[in-house]
Amino acid sequence: MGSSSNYSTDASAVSPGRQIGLDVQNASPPTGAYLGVDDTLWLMASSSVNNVILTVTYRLLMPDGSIVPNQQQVNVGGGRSPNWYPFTLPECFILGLSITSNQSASFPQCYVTAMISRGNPVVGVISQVLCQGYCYQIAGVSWPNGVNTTALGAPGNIRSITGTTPAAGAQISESVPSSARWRLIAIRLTLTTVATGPGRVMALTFDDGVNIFCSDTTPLIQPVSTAWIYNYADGFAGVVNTGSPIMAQLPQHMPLNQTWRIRTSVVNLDPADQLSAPQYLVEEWLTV
Amino acid sequence: MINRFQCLSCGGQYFEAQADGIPYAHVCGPLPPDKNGVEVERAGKRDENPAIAKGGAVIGIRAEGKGVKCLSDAALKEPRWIAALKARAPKEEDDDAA
Repeated sequence: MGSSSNYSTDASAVSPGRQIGLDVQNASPPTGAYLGVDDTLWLMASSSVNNVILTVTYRLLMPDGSIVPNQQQVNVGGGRSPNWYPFTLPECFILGLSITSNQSASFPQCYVTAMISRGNPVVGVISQVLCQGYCYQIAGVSWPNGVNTTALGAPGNIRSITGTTPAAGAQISESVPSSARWRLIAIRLTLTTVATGPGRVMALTFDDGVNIFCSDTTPLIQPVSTAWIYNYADGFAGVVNTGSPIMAQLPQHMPLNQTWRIRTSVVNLDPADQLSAPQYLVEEWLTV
Repeated sequence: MINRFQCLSCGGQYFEAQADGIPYAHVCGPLPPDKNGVEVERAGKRDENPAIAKGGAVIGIRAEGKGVKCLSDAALKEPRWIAALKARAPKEEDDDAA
């Protein structure tokens, strides 16, 4: 594609009611997205929820000057891992491209990137990223006009998550899912103690999968044969209530990467004690 | 209906998905600390996060552990989203054909 390329386009067609004439013969294509015979248009989509329907709409300027509109849909599975969809196209210029989904704008759950690559982008050469961002029903992402955002550069998805209730005598352990980042906002859980042993002391620990980087111990002793509810949030000022329910402080703005863990470390936990009903409020981003 | 499962590695109980429809990936926690206060990971722990092959394809979950038991539907062998994920995974013969 050089200055010697000639493109006669549909844009030069004379409409019956035209008032402005354009001389577009021999003009350069109004786009920088050239797709050669070895290139492929790729869509990457990462979704935390199953069955997201993405609609990809684009217009192509063909070598004979015709303009070809096209639309394709893909069904994206959950799990947050990147899904790759190739769109094999003839040699052309891409005039414009948009991606919308069946997701409400309240839930940033699907992140997409459209790119031109030679070979699978995972192992190939990405020559151009056209557009990327969280994709919604009305507010999609588009090229060339649109705002590109990184997956961590937009407000996250606010989620209420019911965690795993451990076996009796075991601590709570919650791992941040792969390809996700959490900001912990609040936790609520219950500790039911049996009639034996010394008093229990509730503590939370945060680790990177191996090393603990923060511990948060409640300065209260829970007696035997009681069921106390613990509420942790980053807006609470220390322990503001004794007895159940307890309100205790979380570290403010606690970002947690994938595989990092939120755990209890109850002191003097009896093998018959039961931790239960862990509920987390988090802000979640996809990390792709 | 969201089904409840029990992990046969750690004994923990969990739902296969959340109210917002997002699948839940259970991961076993570590064992209680020993007398020296050292925590070790559970042998045969279950990790339901997706396992990704070198080419970027999802090929299953990271670790099956000892498996799971569905407490709400005895016919289910594993959370439905995991079964769907495995069904989408490229088969070994596909790799051979390529």
